[in-house]
Amino acid sequence: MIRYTFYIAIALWLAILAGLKLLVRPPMPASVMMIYMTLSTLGILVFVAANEERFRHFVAPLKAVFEGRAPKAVQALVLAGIPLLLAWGAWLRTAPTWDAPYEPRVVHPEPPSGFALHGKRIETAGLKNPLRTADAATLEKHTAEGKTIYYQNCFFCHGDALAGDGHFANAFSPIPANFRDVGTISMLQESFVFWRVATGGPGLPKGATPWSSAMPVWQNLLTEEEMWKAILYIYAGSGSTPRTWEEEPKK
Amino acid sequence: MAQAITTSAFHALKGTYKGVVKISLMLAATYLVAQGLSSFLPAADYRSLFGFSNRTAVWVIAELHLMFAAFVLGVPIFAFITEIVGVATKEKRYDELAREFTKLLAMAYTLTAVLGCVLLVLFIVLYPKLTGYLSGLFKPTWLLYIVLIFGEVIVAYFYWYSWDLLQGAAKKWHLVLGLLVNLWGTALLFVADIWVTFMMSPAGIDDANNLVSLWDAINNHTWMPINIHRLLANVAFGGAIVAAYAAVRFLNAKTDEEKARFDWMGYVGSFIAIAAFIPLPFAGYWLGREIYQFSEQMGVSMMGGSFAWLWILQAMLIGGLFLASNFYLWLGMGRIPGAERYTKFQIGMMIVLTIGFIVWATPRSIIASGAEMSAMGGSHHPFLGLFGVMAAKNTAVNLMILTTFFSFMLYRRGNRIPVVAWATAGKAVQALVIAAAAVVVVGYGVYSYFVPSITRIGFSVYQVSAVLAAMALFVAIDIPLLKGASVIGAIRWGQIPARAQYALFFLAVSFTWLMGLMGYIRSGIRQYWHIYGRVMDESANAYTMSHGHATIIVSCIVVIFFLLVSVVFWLAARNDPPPGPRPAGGGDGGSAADAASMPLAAASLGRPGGSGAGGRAA
Amino acid sequence: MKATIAKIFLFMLAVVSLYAYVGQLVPQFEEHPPQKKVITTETPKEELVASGQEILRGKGGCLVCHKDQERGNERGPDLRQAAGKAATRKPGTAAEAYLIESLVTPDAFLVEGYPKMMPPSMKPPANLSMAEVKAVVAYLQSLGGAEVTVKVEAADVAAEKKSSGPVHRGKALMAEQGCVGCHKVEGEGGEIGPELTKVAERHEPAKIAQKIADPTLWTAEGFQTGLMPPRPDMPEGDRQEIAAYLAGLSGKSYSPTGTASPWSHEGVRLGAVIAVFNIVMLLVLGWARAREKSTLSPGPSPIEGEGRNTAGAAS
Repeated sequence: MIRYTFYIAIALWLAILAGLKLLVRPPMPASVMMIYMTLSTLGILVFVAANEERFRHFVAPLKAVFEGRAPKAVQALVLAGIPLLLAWGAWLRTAPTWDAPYEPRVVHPEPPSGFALHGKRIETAGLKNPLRTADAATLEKHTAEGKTIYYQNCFFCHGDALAGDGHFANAFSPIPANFRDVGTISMLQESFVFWRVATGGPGLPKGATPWSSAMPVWQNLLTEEEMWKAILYIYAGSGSTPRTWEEEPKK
Repeated sequence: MAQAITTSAFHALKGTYKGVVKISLMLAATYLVAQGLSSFLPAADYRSLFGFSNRTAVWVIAELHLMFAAFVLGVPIFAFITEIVGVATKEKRYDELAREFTKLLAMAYTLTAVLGCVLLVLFIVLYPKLTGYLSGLFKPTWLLYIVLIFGEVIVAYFYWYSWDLLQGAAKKWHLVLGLLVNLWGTALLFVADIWVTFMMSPAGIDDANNLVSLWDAINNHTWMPINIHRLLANVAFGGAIVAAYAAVRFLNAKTDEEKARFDWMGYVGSFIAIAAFIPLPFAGYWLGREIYQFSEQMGVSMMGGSFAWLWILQAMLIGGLFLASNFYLWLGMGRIPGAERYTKFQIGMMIVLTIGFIVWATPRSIIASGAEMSAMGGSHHPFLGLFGVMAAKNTAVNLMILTTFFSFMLYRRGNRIPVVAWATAGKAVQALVIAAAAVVVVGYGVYSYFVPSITRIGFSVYQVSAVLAAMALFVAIDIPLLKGASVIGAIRWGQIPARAQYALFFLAVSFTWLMGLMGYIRSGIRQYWHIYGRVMDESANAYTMSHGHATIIVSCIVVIFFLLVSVVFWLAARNDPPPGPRPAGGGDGGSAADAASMPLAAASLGRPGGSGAGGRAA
Repeated sequence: MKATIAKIFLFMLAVVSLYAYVGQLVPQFEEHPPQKKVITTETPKEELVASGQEILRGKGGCLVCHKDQERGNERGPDLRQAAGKAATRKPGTAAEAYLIESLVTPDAFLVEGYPKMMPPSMKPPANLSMAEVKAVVAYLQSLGGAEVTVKVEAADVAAEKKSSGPVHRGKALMAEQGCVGCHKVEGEGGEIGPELTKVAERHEPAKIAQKIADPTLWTAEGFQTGLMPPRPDMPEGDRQEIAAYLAGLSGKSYSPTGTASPWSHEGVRLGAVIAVFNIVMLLVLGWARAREKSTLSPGPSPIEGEGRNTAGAAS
């Protein structure tokens, strides 16, 4: 078995490549694919080199080719194949495509220390949802109102299931946030969400560029209370809870 | 008797005095230059250095100073531990290893002090206003710092110059000196951290930036976490530099004896580096938590804002460190007779390490083209998104730590076969302990996706505890298990492929680079503030530079640092007598087996020196 | 040997460059600090109003005499009604023109019952530009609930002055921050507060810097307590600069940066302590040397113990 280290390594590498390409659905972006394959290659190489015997068997076929001991056909294949592979790689990198350019986005840009809301300044630090009360009945009432607001305003993009798949969703790039994803609102404090709702796409900081988020500036269309209510609903409706830094209130 | 001691004591004192004079002159020169320049130059809030960016100048010098400071604080810790091991195992070569590195201290101290003085002058000249404010605020700590510097220099120089004086019965006093060196050094670090952390998380001042409580300003949010984080990092750094030095000497060695000696030295250095490295992520986690508690905004800009990209780089570095240390251990097993029994575990460990690395390197914000994004159904990949969050990364890093630990335990056991009656049961319990820790880590990792974030944060503590407990338990069983174990053969020190030494060197370079990067992140998250939220940077350099630019500067710093370190080593080696045949490593079989048990000697000092009795008999 | 060292060095360069290269792969952007607000012809009304409020409360120093809220000073007219009454104050002058005039040339028309005391806003201490004056007018109009009609013209912006250099700006700062509205310094300024030219002879400069933030520290004899507005919002550095300027007027040298004054007492004192310490060490050394000589003189020292021979031989 150890005699075939080189071939096993190649086969394993191809298997990983095929697995990542074919089995992961939806397909992962090329940038991530690149990271994964680089690390897999590294892992295989380090593993092979970490043992003298494995290493010897691994380089043996390479030595055979480059020292001219391998069959002529194999030598020709390798010596022609490597430049061809490199050329192919170069072609892939430089060939023009129809794809829009990459958009390096910062998913959670840092919120400003304060922002303008209806002409007054709101401090982000320590901002809490004023409607999130311990009283279950009131909370439920606000949440129900929030639901109405959501369906009148947010639903068209963020969707019926709050999964970022509303009717208009596919028209946008980036597409609307999926509230059911563990990486979105459940990672964030309500103050952050409020800031995003109130200032929308135009309110995003420079660090999150180039970002063409189509999110409207909701403070122009909704009152402060309505926005808080909608936030109550998106948390309740997606079954998540906002991030807090204090201990949960005991129920 | 008395005469001989007086003679040596005079020399020790003379050497110490040299250090004091050096520091005194340096301080005087700094004072004169700084005062002279600031009264000569036209008054300004900011000055540039001959057209060179004042920020970059201060950055490079500060980082170099910090690295050398880490070196002179880390090496004594390393020397002290090694000296204790030498006393505990009664082996001369540990003492010699400690001595060899303490010898470097005098030179390294001088260089650190010079860099520190240059830094001070740069601060006063380039940032007069800010420096004035800070020094006014922290005047008492500056005085304390100067006192500590003198204390540290006296103790450290005396520690070195009295090495030969305090041998034999007086060795315990030398150990006390070694402890003192480290205590002073730690105090020095803690004081220096005050100024740094105050700029990050100011406290103890009122709205008009007047000092209200000095203690509050000192004991700000990030002070303690940074102290602990830096202390651990210093030990790891000291070990890594020792290992790199040994690697270079090994590659240049001409005789087998030299090779054996430096192979062994590299092993000891890397062991201490890795041992100190393992708790570092936990200290870092604490620091991050404190940053979030100080300012949510600062925390978000560190983890989620533009700096998020640098964490990918950090993940890459740390993953590389884990791979390299395992690589080194596995190659090292090639020189341990009998270790081939454990080769079969390597493939499994490699899979865990690679997958852990992959999870850790998965970016939180994925770079994707428009088409890819619509295919993914959002800015988050439904599947990769699970890997991007902290919960997955914690799980991955804990598993990687556990694997590396296991790898090391196999290495230790390499040439030994336990002979105690309960060997099979013991080994079974050990396997169970590791498996249980893995289950706890993975279990909590998965469970944390279903709970609110505040609970989730708590889980990382359980994961860490599980790993630490498993490691402690494993070692606790291992010591009696291997007591009097039969030895298959002596370790063939020196018979290791050159690429293992490159791995050690890689460890040191990566570690240094990582320090530079982390330093940049820590400092960079203040954005356009000198003192976060209080004193704004009004200079032209207030902007946050692009990551590409920053990484190039970090790289330059690392290259300069290694060039300077090689100068220190070269100068120290110049007065060296040509290395004669020393009773190190190689030849005797007993010490070989003992060296493998050395780390545990460090862990349990009470153990009598004869644990490797089987080996010694052979 | 040399080849190996070169190889190791190249290896280091390769590793370091790899990291630097990965650093180039991630998105590249620079983040600049938020721009200081600059008023332009394009500035939207709301922003103009906000800047006006900021100027009125800060740089302009208007609140020393006026008030724009329920609580405040009443040396001058209540500004909440300024815009409302502007149209009818001075016959023949339209509301907006009147407001601008009353800011630029306050003495041109005095509201009944108030003395001639307001300094022109485009001269020190307030030293506003025309654009800033218009911003203040915009704020005044919004205060009265009237429509904001004022418009910033290109000519106003052109007149916007660059702020003076950042260094030793004590004098400029006192003008900018409105201190000279009440205090007389070097023969210029108001009479509401005490004369400050020689204040540093009476008080420590550091205390003066504190007093600006917290006027309750002391009150000069013959002046009313609580009249001076506390200015904790003024940056520490600016207060120190003012203190340094005042100290200079009294012939004292005081540096807010702590370094501009050479040969500070502390540095010299510290140097003396270190020098004494060095001498003490030297004495101890001399004593040890003397002891060694006296004990060594009878004969060569019998060398014992494995470690001591090196040191013994070296002597």
